[in-house]
Amino acid sequence: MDRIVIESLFPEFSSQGGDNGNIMYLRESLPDAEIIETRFTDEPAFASRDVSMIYLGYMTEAEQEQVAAKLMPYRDRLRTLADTGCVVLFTGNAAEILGRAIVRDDGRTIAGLGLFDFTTRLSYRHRRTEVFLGELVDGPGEEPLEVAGYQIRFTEVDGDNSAEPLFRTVVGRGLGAEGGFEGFRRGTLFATWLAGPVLPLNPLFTEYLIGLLGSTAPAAYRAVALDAYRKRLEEFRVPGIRMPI
Amino acid sequence: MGHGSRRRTLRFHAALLASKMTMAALRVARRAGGQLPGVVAESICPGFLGQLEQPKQMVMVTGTNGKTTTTNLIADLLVANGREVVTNRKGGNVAAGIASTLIRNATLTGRPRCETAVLELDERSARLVFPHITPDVLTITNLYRDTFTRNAHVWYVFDILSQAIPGESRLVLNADDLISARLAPENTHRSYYAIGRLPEDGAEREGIVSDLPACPDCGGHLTYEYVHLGHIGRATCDCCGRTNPAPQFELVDVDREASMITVREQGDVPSEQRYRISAGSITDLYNLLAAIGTARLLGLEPAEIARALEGGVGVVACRYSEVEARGRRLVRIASKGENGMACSRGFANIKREPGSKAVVLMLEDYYLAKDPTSTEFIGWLYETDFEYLNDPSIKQVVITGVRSEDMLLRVLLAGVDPQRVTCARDGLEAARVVDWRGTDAVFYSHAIHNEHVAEESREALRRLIEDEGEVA
Repeated sequence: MDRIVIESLFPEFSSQGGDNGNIMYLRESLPDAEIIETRFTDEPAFASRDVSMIYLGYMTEAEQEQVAAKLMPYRDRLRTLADTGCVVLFTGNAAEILGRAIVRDDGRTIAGLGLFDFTTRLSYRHRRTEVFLGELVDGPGEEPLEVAGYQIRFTEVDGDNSAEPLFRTVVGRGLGAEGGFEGFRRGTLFATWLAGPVLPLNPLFTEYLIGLLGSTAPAAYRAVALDAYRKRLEEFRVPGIRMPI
Repeated sequence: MGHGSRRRTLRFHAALLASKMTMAALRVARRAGGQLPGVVAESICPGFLGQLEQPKQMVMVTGTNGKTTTTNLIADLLVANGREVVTNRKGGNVAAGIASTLIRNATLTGRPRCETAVLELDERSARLVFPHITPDVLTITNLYRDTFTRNAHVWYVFDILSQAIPGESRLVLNADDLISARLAPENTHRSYYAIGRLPEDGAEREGIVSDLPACPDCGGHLTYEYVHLGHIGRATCDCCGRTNPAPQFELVDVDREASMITVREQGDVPSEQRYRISAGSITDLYNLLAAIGTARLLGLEPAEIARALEGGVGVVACRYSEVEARGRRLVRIASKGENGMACSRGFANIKREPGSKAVVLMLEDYYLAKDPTSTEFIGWLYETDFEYLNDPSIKQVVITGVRSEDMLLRVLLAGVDPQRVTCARDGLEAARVVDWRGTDAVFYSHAIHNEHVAEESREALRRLIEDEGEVA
C-alpha cells in the first residue's frame, strides 16, 4: 500500500465513553491517510482489500452482540491480516469480542472470535470504574512507554494474559485475579479494555502505533497532548487515586 | 386516582419521628441536607417509603434532560390554579430525596398535608422508588446518553426504567424520541406529545455521537423527515416501518415575535390552544409542552393553563443568567457536567447568539478538581460538540480548570484556531484574559456545580469593564 489505510469499524456504534476520539485523533495525526468508515450494514473493507489498520471501540452490549455475530465470518481474515502486520486495535468492550465468549448474567452466551484465549463475564450488578496506569510490554525504547487510561465496564475477564500482555500494571488492576497485566497483544493485534479516548490521552502510544503503520508522523497537537498526558501520569500516581461517580 | 392507607409498623413511626427531628435540626443549623431525613428514615425502617401514606395524586417526572424544569412547570401550573402541591424542588431526586420530600409533607401521624405531589425522579432510582410508589402520572422528557461512569449508555438506563415502570401509571411520553417513546411497551396507558416541523429543523441526526444510529427494533436505516435536537425528531425505519407514535398533544406553531405557541390536542373533538412562552429554545419548548400535556391529564382546562402562563408561570431560567456591563452582555449558561448533550446544546445556543462573542469554559467538576485523590473521566469531551465553537462569530475561547490541557486538545481537534484559544488557571484569571473589548458578549459555559466560580469570574469581569469605563 502506498498510502496508510485505516478502517474504522461501525463508528455509529463505537462511540461510547468518547471512544470516537481515537479515530478523531488518528485522522488529525495522519492527514494523508485514507480513513474508511464502515457502517454496520456494510461489508467490512478489510474483507476484500488490504488495510493498514482496523479500529473498533466501545459499544452498548446489544451492539457488541450484533458486531460479534457480524465479524464471525471474517474471523480468519482478521487473523491473517494481523499476522501479516495490519494493526488491529479493539478498545473498551470491543476487546471482549476477540475472546472465546461473553457470558451474560441472564445466562446467555455470546460467541467471540476466539483470537485470544479468555472469556468475559458480564453482570449489570457491578460497574468497575477505576484509573489505570501501565507500561507497554515490549515497547519501542529502553525507557518504558507509559499509558494512562480508565477502566469502566460491567465485565470481568477469565483468562491468563501473562503470556500475551499488552500493558504491565503500575497503578490499578489489569485483567484476571492477579491483575498484573492489562489487555492482550499478539504482534500487531491489540486488545485493551481501556475506555474512552485512549489515543489522545496517550500521544506516545499513538506515535508507537503510527510507527507500526510505517510513518514517523508526530501525534497531532503533540505539545498540548504531552502536557495533558504528563499531568495525568503524575495525577494517577497519587496514592489512593480514584474516579468517583 | 388515589392511594389507600398502608399498614404501618412501630418501626415506621419511630423512623418518621427521627426523620422529622433530623429535619428540625437541619433547619436550626440552617443546613439544606435534602436527602438526610430520608436516609435516616430508611435506615431505621427499611421499606419506609412503602409504608408512608402517599398524597392522593402522585405525579413524577423523569428523563435525561429537562426533568427539573418540567417538574417545576407542572407544579407551578397546578399551584396557579389553586391546587396545593408538594415538590422536591429543594430536595434530591433519588429515593432518599423523594422520601425526604414526602416526610416534609407528612404530619407527625404520617398523613400527607398536600393532596398532590409533583416529584422529579432520577432515572436510575426508578427501580428503588416504583416498588413503593405508583405514580398516577409519569412524565418522561427524553433519554440520552448521560454520565458514562455512572449511567453507562442510554439503553442501560432504558432497561432499568422500562422494567420498573408500573403498569397502572399513565405515561406521558415524548413521541419525537424513538428511544423513550418505547419504554414499558406493556403499559397501555400512554399519551404522547410532539413538536411539529419547525423552520430551524435539520434533516439529519445532529451531533458528533448519536444514541439512535439505527432503528431500535430491527437495526434498519432511519430516514428523518426532520430533526429538532440530537436524535429527536420524526423518523421512519426503511426496513420495518417503525415510526413515531401519534401525539395527543402536538405543538404545531411557534410565533416567536408574539412569544406564543399553538398546541393541538387530539380528542373526540380536536382543539387548539395558544399559550405564552417565556423562553423559546427547543428544549424549553419540549419542557413546556410536556408540562402542558401533563397538566391537561391532571384535569386542568387549556384556558386555565393559558391563564397561568399569561400570569407569569414559565420556564425559570435557572440555568441562564445575563447581566450587562457598559453595553456588553455577560451571560452564564449552566450545563449538566460530564454530559455531552447538555454541553453541546449550550455551545449550539452560544453559536446562534447574535454578534461577536468570547466563550469561557468552566466545565470540569469543581469538587473533584479540589481533591487531589480524585480524577474526572474525560471521555465525555469527545462526545461533546466543541465543533460549534469553531465559528467565525466566536473570537476567543478561554479554557479554565485542572483539565485545561485535555479540553485544549479537544478544542483544537474541533478545528478552533489555536490563536483564538487562551488558557486560564481559574475564574479570576479568565476575567483578566478574556477579550471583552473585541467582542459584543462574553459567555460562560459552566457546569452546574461551578455556578459560584462562574459568577465570581463574571462579577470580576463586570467590575473590570465598568472600572475601565470610569477611568475613561
